[in-house]
Amino acid sequence: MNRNYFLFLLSLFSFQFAFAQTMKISGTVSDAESGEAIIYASVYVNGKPYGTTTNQYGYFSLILPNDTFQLTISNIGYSEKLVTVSPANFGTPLHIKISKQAATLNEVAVKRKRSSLEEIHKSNQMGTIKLPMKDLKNIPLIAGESDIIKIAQLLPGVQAGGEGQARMFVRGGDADQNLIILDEAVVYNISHLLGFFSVFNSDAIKDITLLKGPFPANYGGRLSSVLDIRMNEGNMNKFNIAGGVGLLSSRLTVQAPLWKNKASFMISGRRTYVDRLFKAVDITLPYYFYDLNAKLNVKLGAKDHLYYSSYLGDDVLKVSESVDEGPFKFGFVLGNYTNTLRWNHTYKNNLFSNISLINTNFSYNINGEFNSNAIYISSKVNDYGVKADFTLDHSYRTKFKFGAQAIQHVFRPNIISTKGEISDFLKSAKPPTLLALEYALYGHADYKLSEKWEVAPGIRISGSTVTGKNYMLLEPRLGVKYELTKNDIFKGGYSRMGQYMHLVSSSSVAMPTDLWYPVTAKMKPQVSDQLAVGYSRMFPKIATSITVESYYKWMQNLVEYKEGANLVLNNNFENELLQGKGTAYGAEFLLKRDEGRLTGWIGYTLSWTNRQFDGLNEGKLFPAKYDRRHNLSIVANYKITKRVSLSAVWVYMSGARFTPQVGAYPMLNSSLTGIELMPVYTSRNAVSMSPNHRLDVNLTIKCKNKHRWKGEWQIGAYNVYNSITPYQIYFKADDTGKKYMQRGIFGFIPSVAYNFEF
Amino acid sequence: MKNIVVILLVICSLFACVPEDKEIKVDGFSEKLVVNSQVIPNSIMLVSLTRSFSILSDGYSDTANASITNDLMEKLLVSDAIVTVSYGSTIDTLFMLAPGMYTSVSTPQYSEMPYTIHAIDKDHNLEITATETMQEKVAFEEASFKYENKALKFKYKFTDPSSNNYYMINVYHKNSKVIDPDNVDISTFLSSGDELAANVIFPDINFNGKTFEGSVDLSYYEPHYAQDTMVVSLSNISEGYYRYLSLRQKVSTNILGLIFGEPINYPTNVQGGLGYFSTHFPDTRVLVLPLKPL
Repeated sequence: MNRNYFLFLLSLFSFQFAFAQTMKISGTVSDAESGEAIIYASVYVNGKPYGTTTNQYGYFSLILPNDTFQLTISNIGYSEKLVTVSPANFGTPLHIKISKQAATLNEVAVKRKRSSLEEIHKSNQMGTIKLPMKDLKNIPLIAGESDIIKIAQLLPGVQAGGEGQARMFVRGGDADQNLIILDEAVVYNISHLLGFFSVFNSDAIKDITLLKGPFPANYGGRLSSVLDIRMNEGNMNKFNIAGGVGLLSSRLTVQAPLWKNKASFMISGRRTYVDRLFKAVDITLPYYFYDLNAKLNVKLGAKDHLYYSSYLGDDVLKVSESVDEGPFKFGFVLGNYTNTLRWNHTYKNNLFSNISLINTNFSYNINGEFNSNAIYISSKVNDYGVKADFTLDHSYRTKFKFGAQAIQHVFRPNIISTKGEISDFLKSAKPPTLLALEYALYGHADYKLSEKWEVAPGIRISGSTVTGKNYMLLEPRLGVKYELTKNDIFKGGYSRMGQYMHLVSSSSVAMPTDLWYPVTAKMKPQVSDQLAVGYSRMFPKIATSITVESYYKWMQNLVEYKEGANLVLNNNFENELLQGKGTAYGAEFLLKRDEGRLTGWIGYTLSWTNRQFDGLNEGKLFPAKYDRRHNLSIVANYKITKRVSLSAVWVYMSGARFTPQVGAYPMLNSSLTGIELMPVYTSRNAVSMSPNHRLDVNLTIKCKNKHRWKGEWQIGAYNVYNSITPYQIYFKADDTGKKYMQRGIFGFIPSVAYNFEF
Repeated sequence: MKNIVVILLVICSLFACVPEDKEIKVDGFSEKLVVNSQVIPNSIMLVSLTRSFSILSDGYSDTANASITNDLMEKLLVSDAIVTVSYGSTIDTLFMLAPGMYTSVSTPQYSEMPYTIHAIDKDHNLEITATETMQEKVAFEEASFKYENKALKFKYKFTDPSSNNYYMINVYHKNSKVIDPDNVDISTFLSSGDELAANVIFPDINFNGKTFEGSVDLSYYEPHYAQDTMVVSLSNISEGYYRYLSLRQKVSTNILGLIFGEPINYPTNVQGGLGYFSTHFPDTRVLVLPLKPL
């Protein structure tokens, strides 16, 4: 007994001794000039296998053996910084500032250092891509308008809808299966002008991360992707104005400290002035859109940080004319308004929390008046949510994340008010408000089994409470990483995702009448299971990585319309919808370089995606509309001189699918009083439009700096060789025969823009 | 002036270059036999046989949405096909009444009996077969027209059998000679050229196994004469035919769906062909409209 007791005490002391042999270092990394927190900066120990990255708030935490080490902090576009840490730093957060790297064309300057590219390479998380903000504005797009959604569409695994459309289809999913969050607030409507431009003003954005799955446990609510967008925080040190003037819109961003190094704000606005442009030549174009982003950033102390973010944006159409029969007015206003209040706190040295209060509003209002007739239609979605996320560094082998969230969704669809004769055909209606409470609890661990093996198990319990029904789903998550060498890594992952709301759209283009609806007692949550394996190879000396990933996704309870369904202004939508299954599988290749004279990426996707609904296509399997077999994008930025750079994008993709009419037959009506000609179509989505390819270029010329004024010109062209990207199909019969033709929208479009900063 | 010119140039350059439209190859569509059918009490089965056509081939319509013309119908009507209807151990051969129209003279109607049609068009090497079960006949117990608050309504009553049933009610105005309601003949049931006033289909979900009283709103119907002769029919149809008809109705009334919705192939129970072989037989009444109140 004494011997056993002695051994027990010895083991306790050993454990205490071992625990006492580590130290916990934490802190933040920020931009030396602006004071902005830097996301995904590398923090690693020289010569040792210890390292981490900063989170979305610039916070990092490391558990190290009790010794003195030299930390290297690095990030793309910044000079490396060395910081010595020792047991004396235990208990004191480090606030590390790093400076932007001077512009250089010297490829040797791209020396081996840990960049965010390398951090993603080393991460156990698959399907993650960070968009390089510094290069985004140079990537040529339609009319020179920078658009993060269109840039995301150039990544492997992400399909575009029609040409110029801002919808995304990720790994075979549908457009409503992407969780797009701006400072943690969901943005329901992500596009202006029927989908041709996204609502995100790139001047207001600091960081964008795309996750295609499998997903870690802290994300949920959508099946196919997460686009996590973070706004700039505001320059903490000096007043800064930046903006740009383009062909279609102009932007202005103001950042300044409210209290130096303690508080700052950012306000950024964008408005199209196509209406003003046409007005200058006496043409009335009563349409415009605008976006307004604002952020307040306050350091409450060494351990506390408060943020407030807001976004407001609308599409506005106002037609007012006098016709022979009388005055005619028509208009709509469609947009989002989001607010997020976040509090970061560091508890001791290894527990970090982020608590957020979130409010999202999406609405559209349509109105029309003609003589004594009037119609007003409105729909709204309001979210009120709270989220709590915690990160705990338990040891240098183990890190935990856990948290909870609850969101109350309030849906007010299709409120209709009519006056005059039109009310005989369309009655006023105020359908009941739909309430849905969505909630989730999660836990996740990153655990280093050995120097080569790492596992990341997680569990998310999600649910939704609606009238007459409670849904709950267990969503297991798993990530596995095997490091063959430090530059060759194999990864695998699995995740189950649940989605408790869906977008009911009456067409394949974004329409003002598209509505989000919650699950109901009849419409079950959509569920997906995704399995993926991959290989990542890093070439650190040239800051380049190659990633190959393969995935298989099963989807259940997908939503589609019954044949003949009428969803426009129809509040009885449940009876018009069907639920079915889908599968998606494919392989993705990504070669990416983020630093040096030549940066960019080559992305290729080979994919299949199918659907099966009992009430559609005779219950047989059919390809999804955006089942595009091949998708290749080449994006390149090349610095010709220190002031001049050339960017180019070349894309090739298989065509979207459609269901053409191929025949017809006469059929008596059911009362035998007449004959109708009935169409015959192919099976659903049986035919692909032609593959298409396109080249866009952009030349950026930085002006010589005058005092603090920095200006640059961007001269570009979209679709340089005027290639057709099929957007619409029509039937043509002439002397040459009968055939189907494909029509494109955008040909060669030149653009010019001027950006400035001071 | 210079600014305006610059703006115009910019606008022109934006829209000047639209790429040329491009053809897309779509496989042709093989023609098929199309079946329509009508059962006439008590022993006549009428079947119409036509052919479908490819819109991409020459010789037929000029556009994808061509209307029916006499020339087109002439090409599509099937003549000299061999058409049989079998039920139980009996096979009846239908004879051609007119191009595209085939009829039997003595095909009794037995409830719950499966009827199978088989047609061969040797000239075009086309063959179809379809089977449908004759539904139990359900007859009007009451049928009348009434004006309620100056709105015309057709009021009816019938008893629903206890199984799941689906119903079709047709109301049409006979344009032909005045018919003696007590002396109806086959022409009563041939409604080609008549004006359809209402076509209503509905399931028996709310009155399964019970007597049902209903009405059809005809407030929009304007009588041609002081008292029009109307023919009303009640048919107990199969679930498949009901789904076929309801889809046709939905599509024809959903204009926005036609523009924005997905294309729809109508269901068929014809193997190797198109259309629908239905063996419902209507209970038909000839009624005269009451005088419209002033």
